[in-house]
Amino acid sequence: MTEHTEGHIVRRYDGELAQLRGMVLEMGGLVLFQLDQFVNLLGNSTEKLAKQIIERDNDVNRLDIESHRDVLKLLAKRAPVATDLRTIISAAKVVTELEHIGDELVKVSCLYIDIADSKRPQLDENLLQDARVMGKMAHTMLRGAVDSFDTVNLEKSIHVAQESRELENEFQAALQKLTNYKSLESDNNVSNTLSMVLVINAMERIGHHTKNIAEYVVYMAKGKDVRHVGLDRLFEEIYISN
Amino acid sequence: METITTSSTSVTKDTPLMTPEKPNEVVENKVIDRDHRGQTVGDVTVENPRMTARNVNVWYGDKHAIQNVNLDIANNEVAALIGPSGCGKTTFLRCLNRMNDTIDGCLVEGEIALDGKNIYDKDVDVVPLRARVGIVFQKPNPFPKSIYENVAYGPRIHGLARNKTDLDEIVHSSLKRSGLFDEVKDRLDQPGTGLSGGQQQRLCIARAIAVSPEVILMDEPCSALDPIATATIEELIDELRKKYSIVIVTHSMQQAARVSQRTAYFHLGDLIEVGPTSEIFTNPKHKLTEEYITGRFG
Ligand SMILES: Nc1ncnc2c1ncn2[C@@H]1O[C@H](COP(=O)(O)OP(=O)(O)OP(=O)(O)O)[C@@H](O)[C@H]1O
Ligand SMILES: [Mg+2]
Repeated sequence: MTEHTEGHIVRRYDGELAQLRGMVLEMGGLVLFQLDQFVNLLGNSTEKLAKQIIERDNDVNRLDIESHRDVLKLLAKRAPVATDLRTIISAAKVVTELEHIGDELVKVSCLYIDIADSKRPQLDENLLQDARVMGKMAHTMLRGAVDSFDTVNLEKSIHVAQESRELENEFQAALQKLTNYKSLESDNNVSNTLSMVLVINAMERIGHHTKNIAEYVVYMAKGKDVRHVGLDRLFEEIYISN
Repeated sequence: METITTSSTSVTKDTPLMTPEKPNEVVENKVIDRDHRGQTVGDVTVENPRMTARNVNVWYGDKHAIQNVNLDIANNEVAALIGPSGCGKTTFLRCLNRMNDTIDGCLVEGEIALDGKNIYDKDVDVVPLRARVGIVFQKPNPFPKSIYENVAYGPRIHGLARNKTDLDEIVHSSLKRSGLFDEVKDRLDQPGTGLSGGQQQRLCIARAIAVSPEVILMDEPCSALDPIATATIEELIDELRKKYSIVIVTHSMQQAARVSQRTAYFHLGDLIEVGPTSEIFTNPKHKLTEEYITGRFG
Protein backbone atom coordinates (compact mmCIF):
# COMPACT_ATOMS: atom_id res chain seq x y z
CA MET A 1 0.00 0.00 0.00
CA THR A 2 1.07 3.55 -0.53
CA GLU A 3 0.16 6.95 0.74
CA HIS A 4 -2.46 6.90 -1.96
CA THR A 5 -4.47 4.21 -0.30
CA GLU A 6 -3.63 4.38 3.39
CA GLY A 7 -4.80 6.16 6.45
CA HIS A 8 -8.58 6.19 6.24
CA ILE A 9 -10.50 6.00 9.46
CA VAL A 10 -12.63 3.40 7.71
CA ARG A 11 -9.91 0.83 7.14
CA ARG A 12 -11.88 -1.21 4.69
CA TYR A 13 -11.66 1.78 2.35
CA ASP A 14 -7.84 1.48 2.43
CA GLY A 15 -8.23 -2.16 1.51
CA GLU A 16 -10.58 -1.49 -1.38
CA LEU A 17 -8.30 1.15 -2.84
CA ALA A 18 -5.25 -1.07 -2.43
CA GLN A 19 -7.10 -3.87 -4.15
CA LEU A 20 -7.95 -1.66 -7.10
CA ARG A 21 -4.36 -0.53 -7.42
CA GLY A 22 -3.26 -4.14 -7.15
CA MET A 23 -5.54 -5.09 -9.98
CA VAL A 24 -4.16 -2.32 -12.18
CA LEU A 25 -0.64 -3.55 -11.46
CA GLU A 26 -1.59 -7.13 -12.22
CA MET A 27 -3.05 -6.03 -15.52
CA GLY A 28 0.05 -3.94 -16.20
CA GLY A 29 2.24 -6.98 -15.58
CA LEU A 30 0.16 -9.11 -17.89
CA VAL A 31 0.19 -6.59 -20.73
CA LEU A 32 3.95 -6.18 -20.29
CA PHE A 33 4.30 -9.94 -20.68
CA GLN A 34 2.14 -9.85 -23.80
CA LEU A 35 4.27 -7.14 -25.31
CA ASP A 36 7.41 -9.07 -24.46
CA GLN A 37 5.99 -12.15 -26.15
CA PHE A 38 5.15 -10.17 -29.22
CA VAL A 39 8.68 -8.83 -29.46
CA ASN A 40 9.82 -12.46 -29.30
CA LEU A 41 7.45 -13.25 -32.09
CA LEU A 42 9.24 -10.69 -34.21
CA GLY A 43 12.42 -12.70 -33.70
CA ASN A 44 11.22 -16.18 -34.50
CA SER A 45 7.69 -16.13 -35.66
CA THR A 46 5.69 -19.13 -34.68
CA GLU A 47 1.98 -19.36 -35.12
CA LYS A 48 1.70 -20.93 -31.69
CA LEU A 49 3.15 -17.91 -29.95
CA ALA A 50 0.80 -15.60 -31.83
CA LYS A 51 -2.20 -17.71 -30.87
CA GLN A 52 -1.14 -17.67 -27.23
CA ILE A 53 -1.01 -13.91 -27.24
CA ILE A 54 -4.50 -13.74 -28.70
CA GLU A 55 -5.77 -16.28 -26.21
CA ARG A 56 -4.20 -14.50 -23.24
CA ASP A 57 -5.87 -11.23 -24.13
CA ASN A 58 -9.01 -12.71 -22.59
CA ASP A 59 -7.32 -12.35 -19.22
CA VAL A 60 -6.52 -8.75 -19.99
CA ASN A 61 -10.15 -8.15 -20.83
CA ARG A 62 -11.30 -9.88 -17.69
CA LEU A 63 -9.08 -7.63 -15.55
CA ASP A 64 -10.42 -4.64 -17.44
CA ILE A 65 -13.98 -5.59 -16.59
CA GLU A 66 -13.19 -6.47 -12.99
CA SER A 67 -11.36 -3.24 -12.30
CA HIS A 68 -14.12 -1.17 -13.82
CA ARG A 69 -16.59 -2.99 -11.65
CA ASP A 70 -14.48 -2.13 -8.60
CA VAL A 71 -14.18 1.47 -9.71
CA LEU A 72 -17.95 1.78 -9.91
CA LYS A 73 -18.35 0.14 -6.54
CA LEU A 74 -15.87 2.54 -4.94
CA LEU A 75 -17.52 5.57 -6.49
CA ALA A 76 -20.95 4.48 -5.36
CA LYS A 77 -20.00 3.32 -1.90
CA ARG A 78 -17.34 5.74 -0.79
CA ALA A 79 -18.14 8.95 -2.67
CA PRO A 80 -14.41 9.54 -2.95
CA VAL A 81 -12.88 13.01 -3.03
CA ALA A 82 -9.47 14.59 -3.47
CA THR A 83 -6.53 12.16 -3.68
CA ASP A 84 -8.86 9.16 -3.38
CA LEU A 85 -10.99 10.36 -6.26
CA ARG A 86 -7.94 11.02 -8.39
CA THR A 87 -6.48 7.62 -7.59
CA ILE A 88 -9.67 5.88 -8.61
CA ILE A 89 -10.18 7.89 -11.78
CA SER A 90 -6.54 7.40 -12.77
CA ALA A 91 -6.79 3.69 -12.13
CA ALA A 92 -9.82 3.50 -14.41
CA LYS A 93 -8.03 5.44 -17.11
CA VAL A 94 -4.84 3.40 -16.84
CA VAL A 95 -6.85 0.21 -17.11
CA THR A 96 -8.47 1.47 -20.30
CA GLU A 97 -5.08 2.32 -21.79
CA LEU A 98 -3.77 -1.13 -20.88
CA GLU A 99 -6.77 -2.71 -22.49
CA HIS A 100 -6.09 -0.75 -25.69
CA ILE A 101 -2.49 -1.93 -25.66
CA GLY A 102 -3.77 -5.47 -25.32
CA ASP A 103 -5.99 -4.94 -28.36
CA GLU A 104 -3.09 -3.61 -30.44
CA LEU A 105 -1.12 -6.73 -29.62
CA VAL A 106 -4.00 -8.98 -30.63
CA LYS A 107 -4.33 -7.11 -33.89
CA VAL A 108 -0.69 -7.58 -34.86
CA SER A 109 -0.64 -11.17 -33.66
CA CYS A 110 -3.55 -11.92 -36.00
CA LEU A 111 -1.49 -10.44 -38.77
CA TYR A 112 1.16 -13.04 -38.07
CA ILE A 113 -1.30 -15.86 -38.33
CA ASP A 114 -2.47 -14.48 -41.68
CA ILE A 115 1.09 -14.45 -42.95
CA ALA A 116 1.64 -18.02 -41.84
CA ASP A 117 -1.61 -19.13 -43.48
CA SER A 118 -0.97 -17.41 -46.77
CA LYS A 119 2.29 -19.24 -47.53
CA ARG A 120 3.94 -15.94 -48.20
CA PRO A 121 7.70 -15.85 -47.81
CA GLN A 122 8.89 -15.09 -44.30
CA LEU A 123 9.24 -11.48 -43.37
CA ASP A 124 12.41 -9.84 -44.46
CA GLU A 125 14.95 -9.48 -41.64
CA ASN A 126 15.55 -5.91 -42.67
CA LEU A 127 11.92 -5.07 -42.15
CA LEU A 128 11.76 -6.86 -38.85
CA GLN A 129 14.68 -5.04 -37.36
CA ASP A 130 12.92 -1.69 -36.98
CA ALA A 131 9.79 -3.26 -35.55
CA ARG A 132 11.88 -5.07 -32.96
CA VAL A 133 13.65 -1.90 -31.92
CA MET A 134 10.36 -0.12 -31.53
CA GLY A 135 8.80 -3.03 -29.67
CA LYS A 136 11.64 -3.03 -27.17
CA MET A 137 11.41 0.69 -26.71
CA ALA A 138 7.69 0.42 -26.09
CA HIS A 139 8.32 -2.35 -23.60
CA THR A 140 10.82 -0.28 -21.62
CA MET A 141 8.40 2.61 -21.61
CA LEU A 142 5.51 0.49 -20.45
CA ARG A 143 7.55 -0.97 -17.65
CA GLY A 144 8.49 2.55 -16.58
CA ALA A 145 4.87 3.68 -16.72
CA VAL A 146 3.58 0.75 -14.68
CA ASP A 147 6.39 1.29 -12.15
CA SER A 148 5.59 4.95 -11.92
CA PHE A 149 1.98 4.08 -11.16
CA ASP A 150 3.07 1.55 -8.56
CA THR A 151 5.45 3.82 -6.70
CA VAL A 152 3.91 7.15 -7.72
CA ASN A 153 7.28 8.17 -9.05
CA LEU A 154 6.91 11.27 -11.19
CA GLU A 155 10.50 11.22 -12.38
CA LYS A 156 9.71 7.94 -14.03
CA SER A 157 6.58 9.43 -15.56
CA ILE A 158 8.62 12.24 -17.09
CA HIS A 159 11.13 9.74 -18.35
CA VAL A 160 8.36 7.82 -20.09
CA ALA A 161 7.18 11.01 -21.76
CA GLN A 162 10.71 11.63 -22.99
CA GLU A 163 11.04 8.11 -24.30
CA SER A 164 7.76 8.46 -26.11
CA ARG A 165 9.33 11.23 -28.13
CA GLU A 166 12.20 8.96 -29.10
CA LEU A 167 9.79 6.24 -30.07
CA GLU A 168 7.92 8.72 -32.22
CA ASN A 169 11.16 9.64 -34.01
CA GLU A 170 11.96 5.99 -34.51
CA PHE A 171 8.53 5.48 -36.01
CA GLN A 172 8.98 8.32 -38.49
CA ALA A 173 12.39 7.01 -39.48
CA ALA A 174 11.09 3.47 -39.96
CA LEU A 175 8.21 4.68 -42.10
CA GLN A 176 10.66 6.63 -44.22
CA LYS A 177 12.77 3.55 -44.70
CA LEU A 178 9.81 1.43 -45.69
CA THR A 179 8.74 3.97 -48.28
CA ASN A 180 12.14 3.74 -49.88
CA TYR A 181 12.25 0.00 -49.61
CA LYS A 182 13.93 -1.36 -52.75
CA SER A 183 12.47 -4.79 -53.31
CA LEU A 184 8.78 -4.03 -53.71
CA GLU A 185 8.61 -5.81 -57.08
CA SER A 186 6.68 -8.90 -56.09
CA ASP A 187 3.17 -8.87 -54.67
CA ASN A 188 4.35 -10.86 -51.69
CA ASN A 189 6.77 -8.19 -50.72
CA VAL A 190 4.10 -5.55 -51.00
CA SER A 191 1.84 -7.33 -48.59
CA ASN A 192 4.73 -8.09 -46.26
CA THR A 193 5.70 -4.46 -46.30
CA LEU A 194 2.15 -3.47 -45.55
CA SER A 195 2.07 -5.88 -42.64
CA MET A 196 5.23 -4.32 -41.34
CA VAL A 197 3.70 -0.86 -41.54
CA LEU A 198 0.81 -2.11 -39.46
CA VAL A 199 3.21 -3.60 -36.92
CA ILE A 200 5.32 -0.51 -36.44
CA ASN A 201 2.16 1.56 -36.34
CA ALA A 202 0.90 -0.65 -33.53
CA MET A 203 4.17 -0.14 -31.64
CA GLU A 204 3.72 3.60 -32.06
CA ARG A 205 0.17 3.37 -30.70
CA ILE A 206 1.36 1.35 -27.74
CA GLY A 207 3.90 4.05 -27.00
CA HIS A 208 1.12 6.60 -27.13
CA HIS A 209 -1.09 4.67 -24.71
CA THR A 210 1.88 4.23 -22.44
CA LYS A 211 2.56 7.93 -22.39
CA ASN A 212 -1.06 8.46 -21.40
CA ILE A 213 -0.56 6.11 -18.47
CA ALA A 214 2.40 8.16 -17.29
CA GLU A 215 0.30 11.31 -17.55
CA TYR A 216 -2.46 9.82 -15.42
CA VAL A 217 0.11 9.11 -12.75
CA VAL A 218 0.97 12.81 -12.73
CA TYR A 219 -2.71 13.64 -12.46
CA MET A 220 -3.12 11.18 -9.62
CA ALA A 221 -0.25 12.69 -7.65
CA LYS A 222 -0.62 16.35 -8.50
CA GLY A 223 -4.20 16.88 -9.54
CA LYS A 224 -2.99 18.44 -12.75
CA ASP A 225 -4.15 17.40 -16.15
CA VAL A 226 -0.94 17.17 -18.17
CA ARG A 227 -2.37 15.48 -21.20
CA HIS A 228 -1.80 17.42 -24.37
CA VAL A 229 0.90 19.60 -22.84
CA GLY A 230 4.45 19.53 -24.16
CA LEU A 231 7.37 17.96 -22.35
CA ASP A 232 8.60 21.32 -21.10
CA ARG A 233 5.24 22.17 -19.57
CA LEU A 234 5.06 18.72 -18.05
CA PHE A 235 8.42 19.30 -16.45
CA GLU A 236 7.29 22.66 -15.16
CA GLU A 237 4.07 21.30 -13.72
CA ILE A 238 5.90 18.63 -11.81
CA TYR A 239 8.96 20.43 -10.58
CA ILE A 240 8.30 24.13 -10.54
CA SER A 241 4.76 24.64 -9.33
CA ASN A 242 3.95 22.75 -6.19
CA MET B 1 -2.64 40.29 20.23
CA GLU B 2 -0.76 38.70 23.09
CA THR B 3 -3.81 36.83 24.21
CA ILE B 4 -4.17 35.40 20.74
CA THR B 5 -0.64 34.04 20.63
CA THR B 6 -0.77 32.52 24.08
CA SER B 7 -4.09 30.89 23.60
CA SER B 8 -3.30 29.61 20.12
CA THR B 9 -0.08 28.05 21.37
CA SER B 10 -2.05 26.19 23.96
CA VAL B 11 -4.44 25.03 21.31
CA THR B 12 -1.55 23.59 19.32
CA LYS B 13 -0.16 21.84 22.34
CA ASP B 14 -3.43 20.35 23.45
CA THR B 15 -4.46 19.30 20.01
CA PRO B 16 -5.22 15.61 19.87
CA LEU B 17 -4.29 15.78 16.24
CA MET B 18 -1.35 13.46 16.31
CA THR B 19 -1.93 10.15 14.73
CA PRO B 20 0.59 7.49 15.73
CA GLU B 21 1.73 6.92 12.13
CA LYS B 22 2.66 10.42 11.09
CA PRO B 23 2.84 12.72 14.06
CA ASN B 24 5.34 15.21 12.75
CA GLU B 25 3.86 15.71 9.36
CA VAL B 26 0.46 16.77 10.56
CA VAL B 27 1.61 18.92 13.42
CA GLU B 28 4.30 20.47 11.30
CA ASN B 29 1.72 21.55 8.81
CA LYS B 30 -0.30 23.09 11.57
CA VAL B 31 2.72 24.92 12.97
CA ILE B 32 3.53 26.39 9.60
CA ASP B 33 0.00 27.61 9.40
CA ARG B 34 0.11 29.24 12.79
CA ASP B 35 3.33 31.02 11.93
CA HIS B 36 1.49 32.57 9.03
CA ARG B 37 -1.57 33.58 10.96
CA GLY B 38 -4.19 34.94 8.64
CA GLN B 39 -2.52 33.25 5.70
CA THR B 40 -5.35 31.00 4.82
CA VAL B 41 -4.56 28.89 1.78
CA GLY B 42 -6.53 30.15 -1.22
CA ASP B 43 -8.17 33.46 -1.94
CA VAL B 44 -10.45 34.61 0.87
CA THR B 45 -11.67 37.56 -1.16
CA VAL B 46 -14.21 37.67 -3.98
CA GLU B 47 -14.96 40.18 -6.70
CA ASN B 48 -18.52 40.92 -5.64
CA PRO B 49 -18.67 40.61 -1.86
CA ARG B 50 -21.97 40.79 -0.01
CA MET B 51 -20.24 40.32 3.33
CA THR B 52 -16.63 40.69 4.34
CA ALA B 53 -15.16 39.33 7.56
CA ARG B 54 -11.81 40.77 8.55
CA ASN B 55 -9.53 39.69 11.40
CA VAL B 56 -12.38 38.06 13.23
CA ASN B 57 -11.55 36.62 16.63
CA VAL B 58 -14.06 35.07 18.98
CA TRP B 59 -13.62 34.08 22.59
CA TYR B 60 -15.93 32.22 24.92
CA GLY B 61 -14.32 33.38 28.16
CA ASP B 62 -10.75 32.09 27.82
CA LYS B 63 -11.58 29.82 24.95
CA HIS B 64 -10.29 31.29 21.71
CA ALA B 65 -12.84 29.79 19.33
CA ILE B 66 -12.16 31.73 16.12
CA GLN B 67 -8.67 32.92 15.30
CA ASN B 68 -8.13 35.81 12.99
CA VAL B 69 -10.41 34.68 10.23
CA ASN B 70 -10.79 36.63 7.00
CA LEU B 71 -13.47 35.60 4.53
CA ASP B 72 -15.72 37.18 1.94
CA ILE B 73 -19.20 35.99 1.08
CA ALA B 74 -20.08 36.77 -2.52
CA ASN B 75 -23.38 37.83 -4.00
CA ASN B 76 -25.47 34.96 -5.29
CA GLU B 77 -23.14 32.39 -3.93
CA VAL B 78 -23.52 29.41 -1.68
CA ALA B 79 -20.49 29.20 0.58
CA ALA B 80 -20.03 26.00 2.56
CA LEU B 81 -18.24 25.94 5.90
CA ILE B 82 -16.84 22.55 6.72
CA GLY B 83 -14.56 21.13 9.36
CA PRO B 84 -14.41 18.77 12.32
CA SER B 85 -16.79 19.13 15.21
CA GLY B 86 -15.83 22.01 17.48
CA CYS B 87 -13.71 23.81 14.89
CA GLY B 88 -15.86 26.93 15.10
CA LYS B 89 -18.20 26.73 12.11
CA THR B 90 -21.32 27.57 14.10
CA THR B 91 -19.45 30.24 16.02
CA PHE B 92 -18.29 31.91 12.83
CA LEU B 93 -21.71 31.60 11.21
CA ARG B 94 -23.38 33.21 14.20
CA CYS B 95 -20.98 36.14 14.00
CA LEU B 96 -22.44 37.00 10.62
CA ASN B 97 -25.72 38.19 12.10
CA ARG B 98 -24.56 38.86 15.65
CA MET B 99 -26.31 35.88 17.15
CA ASN B 100 -23.33 35.56 19.47
CA ASP B 101 -24.38 38.80 21.16
CA THR B 102 -26.91 36.76 23.06
CA ILE B 103 -24.28 34.46 24.59
CA ASP B 104 -22.82 35.50 27.91
CA GLY B 105 -19.04 35.70 27.93
CA CYS B 106 -18.78 35.60 24.17
CA LEU B 107 -16.46 38.26 22.76
CA VAL B 108 -16.27 39.02 19.06
CA GLU B 109 -13.43 41.11 17.67
CA GLY B 110 -12.69 42.31 14.17
CA GLU B 111 -14.88 43.67 11.44
CA ILE B 112 -17.78 42.06 9.65
CA ALA B 113 -19.36 44.20 6.99
CA LEU B 114 -22.63 43.76 5.15
CA ASP B 115 -22.66 45.76 1.92
CA GLY B 116 -19.65 47.67 3.23
CA LYS B 117 -21.13 48.61 6.61
CA ASN B 118 -19.67 47.08 9.76
CA ILE B 119 -22.50 45.24 11.48
CA TYR B 120 -20.69 45.53 14.82
CA ASP B 121 -20.80 49.34 14.73
CA LYS B 122 -22.54 50.92 17.70
CA ASP B 123 -25.32 52.38 15.58
CA VAL B 124 -26.42 49.06 14.11
CA ASP B 125 -29.74 47.72 15.38
CA VAL B 126 -29.64 43.95 15.50
CA VAL B 127 -33.35 43.41 14.84
CA PRO B 128 -33.36 44.67 11.24
CA LEU B 129 -29.87 43.17 10.84
CA ARG B 130 -31.22 39.72 11.58
CA ALA B 131 -33.93 40.25 9.00
CA ARG B 132 -31.29 41.09 6.41
CA VAL B 133 -29.13 38.19 7.48
CA GLY B 134 -31.52 35.37 8.29
CA ILE B 135 -30.60 32.10 9.95
CA VAL B 136 -31.91 28.55 9.72
CA PHE B 137 -30.84 26.15 12.43
CA GLN B 138 -30.00 22.49 12.47
CA LYS B 139 -33.14 21.63 14.38
CA PRO B 140 -36.22 23.15 12.82
CA ASN B 141 -37.68 25.49 15.41
CA PRO B 142 -41.11 26.68 14.30
CA PHE B 143 -42.95 28.91 16.77
CA PRO B 144 -45.77 27.15 18.57
CA LYS B 145 -48.22 28.95 16.33
CA SER B 146 -50.02 28.31 13.07
CA ILE B 147 -48.13 27.71 9.85
CA TYR B 148 -49.42 31.05 8.61
CA GLU B 149 -48.31 32.92 11.72
CA ASN B 150 -44.84 31.37 11.58
CA VAL B 151 -44.24 33.02 8.24
CA ALA B 152 -46.28 36.19 8.86
CA TYR B 153 -44.52 37.08 12.10
CA GLY B 154 -41.35 38.56 10.59
CA PRO B 155 -42.97 40.67 7.86
CA ARG B 156 -45.41 41.97 10.43
CA ILE B 157 -42.85 43.10 13.01
CA HIS B 158 -40.62 44.56 10.30
CA GLY B 159 -43.58 46.40 8.81
CA LEU B 160 -43.22 44.81 5.39
CA ALA B 161 -46.96 44.47 4.76
CA ARG B 162 -49.44 47.34 4.59
CA ASN B 163 -52.53 45.21 4.90
CA LYS B 164 -53.84 41.68 5.12
CA THR B 165 -53.71 41.16 1.34
CA ASP B 166 -50.04 42.13 1.32
CA LEU B 167 -49.31 39.79 4.19
CA ASP B 168 -51.19 36.91 2.56
CA GLU B 169 -49.18 37.49 -0.57
CA ILE B 170 -45.88 37.41 1.33
CA VAL B 171 -46.84 34.28 3.27
CA HIS B 172 -48.00 32.43 0.19
CA SER B 173 -45.04 33.35 -1.98
CA SER B 174 -42.56 32.49 0.79
CA LEU B 175 -44.18 29.12 1.27
CA LYS B 176 -44.15 28.57 -2.46
CA ARG B 177 -40.49 29.45 -2.77
CA SER B 178 -39.59 27.14 0.08
CA GLY B 179 -41.46 24.40 -1.75
CA LEU B 180 -43.96 23.86 1.04
CA PHE B 181 -47.08 25.63 -0.18
CA ASP B 182 -48.78 22.76 -1.98
CA GLU B 183 -48.38 20.51 1.02
CA VAL B 184 -49.87 22.97 3.53
CA LYS B 185 -52.17 25.29 1.62
CA ASP B 186 -55.29 23.66 3.08
CA ARG B 187 -54.11 23.84 6.65
CA LEU B 188 -52.37 27.15 7.08
CA ASP B 189 -54.16 27.61 10.41
CA GLN B 190 -52.76 24.38 11.84
CA PRO B 191 -49.74 24.48 14.17
CA GLY B 192 -46.34 24.55 12.48
CA THR B 193 -45.09 22.07 15.04
CA GLY B 194 -47.43 19.46 13.57
CA LEU B 195 -45.43 19.20 10.36
CA SER B 196 -42.82 16.57 9.57
CA GLY B 197 -39.17 17.41 10.18
CA GLY B 198 -38.47 18.20 6.54
CA GLN B 199 -41.62 20.29 6.29
CA GLN B 200 -40.73 22.15 9.48
CA GLN B 201 -37.30 22.92 8.05
CA ARG B 202 -38.86 24.29 4.89
CA LEU B 203 -41.26 26.29 7.07
CA CYS B 204 -38.27 27.81 8.86
CA ILE B 205 -36.73 28.64 5.50
CA ALA B 206 -40.02 30.25 4.42
CA ARG B 207 -39.94 32.24 7.65
CA ALA B 208 -36.39 33.37 6.92
CA ILE B 209 -37.10 34.43 3.34
CA ALA B 210 -40.41 36.15 4.19
CA VAL B 211 -38.50 39.20 5.44
CA SER B 212 -36.55 39.54 2.16
CA PRO B 213 -33.11 38.87 3.57
CA GLU B 214 -29.90 39.44 1.65
CA VAL B 215 -28.03 36.60 3.25
CA ILE B 216 -29.29 33.32 4.64
CA LEU B 217 -27.18 31.43 7.15
CA MET B 218 -27.87 27.73 7.52
CA ASP B 219 -26.40 25.58 10.24
CA GLU B 220 -26.61 21.92 9.19
CA PRO B 221 -30.12 22.43 7.84
CA CYS B 222 -30.50 18.88 6.56
CA SER B 223 -28.87 16.84 9.28
CA ALA B 224 -32.20 15.44 10.45
CA LEU B 225 -33.74 14.93 7.05
CA ASP B 226 -34.11 11.97 4.71
CA PRO B 227 -32.54 12.06 1.21
CA ILE B 228 -35.72 13.27 -0.47
CA ALA B 229 -36.34 16.09 2.00
CA THR B 230 -32.61 16.89 1.75
CA ALA B 231 -32.82 17.02 -2.04
CA THR B 232 -35.84 19.33 -1.82
CA ILE B 233 -33.90 21.71 0.42
CA GLU B 234 -30.81 21.54 -1.75
CA GLU B 235 -32.90 22.36 -4.79
CA LEU B 236 -34.34 25.26 -2.84
CA ILE B 237 -30.89 26.48 -1.85
CA ASP B 238 -29.90 26.49 -5.50
CA GLU B 239 -33.03 28.47 -6.32
CA LEU B 240 -32.49 30.93 -3.45
CA ARG B 241 -28.98 31.62 -4.63
CA LYS B 242 -30.36 33.60 -7.55
CA LYS B 243 -31.50 36.28 -5.09
CA TYR B 244 -29.49 35.77 -1.93
CA SER B 245 -26.12 34.81 -0.62
CA ILE B 246 -26.13 31.64 1.39
CA VAL B 247 -23.68 30.39 3.96
CA ILE B 248 -24.21 26.78 4.91
CA VAL B 249 -22.52 24.73 7.59
CA THR B 250 -22.61 21.05 6.78
CA HIS B 251 -21.01 17.85 7.96
CA SER B 252 -21.81 16.16 4.72
CA MET B 253 -18.93 16.50 2.29
CA GLN B 254 -21.24 15.45 -0.49
CA GLN B 255 -23.72 18.14 0.42
CA ALA B 256 -21.01 20.79 0.44
CA ALA B 257 -19.87 19.51 -2.94
CA ARG B 258 -23.40 19.49 -4.30
CA VAL B 259 -24.72 22.86 -3.19
CA SER B 260 -21.82 25.26 -2.80
CA GLN B 261 -19.65 27.21 -5.18
CA ARG B 262 -17.01 27.96 -2.59
CA THR B 263 -15.89 25.89 0.35
CA ALA B 264 -14.07 27.01 3.49
CA TYR B 265 -12.33 24.49 5.71
CA PHE B 266 -12.02 25.33 9.42
CA HIS B 267 -9.76 23.57 11.84
CA LEU B 268 -9.45 24.38 15.55
CA GLY B 269 -10.68 27.92 15.02
CA ASP B 270 -8.44 28.62 12.04
CA LEU B 271 -9.67 29.06 8.52
CA ILE B 272 -7.22 26.69 6.87
CA GLU B 273 -8.24 26.78 3.26
CA VAL B 274 -10.85 28.30 1.03
CA GLY B 275 -11.39 27.80 -2.66
CA PRO B 276 -13.79 26.89 -5.43
CA THR B 277 -15.71 23.84 -4.28
CA SER B 278 -14.71 21.84 -7.33
CA GLU B 279 -11.05 22.39 -6.50
CA ILE B 280 -11.37 21.73 -2.79
CA PHE B 281 -12.92 18.35 -3.51
CA THR B 282 -10.61 17.27 -6.30
CA ASN B 283 -7.33 18.86 -5.39
CA PRO B 284 -7.18 20.57 -1.99
CA LYS B 285 -3.94 22.40 -1.33
CA HIS B 286 -3.62 21.95 2.41
CA LYS B 287 -2.87 18.58 3.89
CA LEU B 288 -5.34 19.10 6.72
CA THR B 289 -8.14 19.79 4.26
CA GLU B 290 -7.27 16.69 2.30
CA GLU B 291 -7.09 14.49 5.37
CA TYR B 292 -10.40 15.75 6.62
CA ILE B 293 -12.41 15.44 3.42
CA THR B 294 -11.00 12.03 2.54
CA GLY B 295 -11.83 10.73 6.01
CA ARG B 296 -8.29 10.30 7.19
CA PHE B 297 -8.75 11.86 10.60
CA GLY B 298 -11.67 12.69 12.83
N1 LIG C 1 -21.54 28.92 24.42
C1 LIG C 1 -20.30 28.45 24.46
N2 LIG C 1 -19.55 28.57 25.56
C2 LIG C 1 -18.29 28.09 25.61
N3 LIG C 1 -17.66 27.48 24.60
C3 LIG C 1 -18.36 27.33 23.46
C4 LIG C 1 -19.71 27.79 23.33
N4 LIG C 1 -20.13 27.49 22.10
C5 LIG C 1 -19.11 26.86 21.48
N5 LIG C 1 -18.05 26.77 22.29
C6 LIG C 1 -16.75 26.18 21.96
O1 LIG C 1 -16.21 26.83 20.83
C7 LIG C 1 -15.65 25.92 19.92
C8 LIG C 1 -16.34 26.03 18.58
O2 LIG C 1 -17.68 25.59 18.71
P1 LIG C 1 -18.70 25.60 17.51
O3 LIG C 1 -20.05 25.27 18.07
O4 LIG C 1 -18.56 26.83 16.75
O5 LIG C 1 -18.14 24.37 16.65
P2 LIG C 1 -18.72 23.70 15.33
O6 LIG C 1 -17.64 23.73 14.34
O7 LIG C 1 -20.01 24.33 14.96
O8 LIG C 1 -18.95 22.20 15.80
P3 LIG C 1 -20.11 21.15 15.41
O9 LIG C 1 -19.71 20.65 14.07
O10 LIG C 1 -19.99 20.10 16.43
O11 LIG C 1 -21.42 21.88 15.42
C9 LIG C 1 -15.80 24.55 20.55
O12 LIG C 1 -14.61 24.21 21.19
C10 LIG C 1 -16.92 24.73 21.56
O13 LIG C 1 -16.75 23.87 22.64
MG1 LIG D 1 -22.02 23.64 14.86
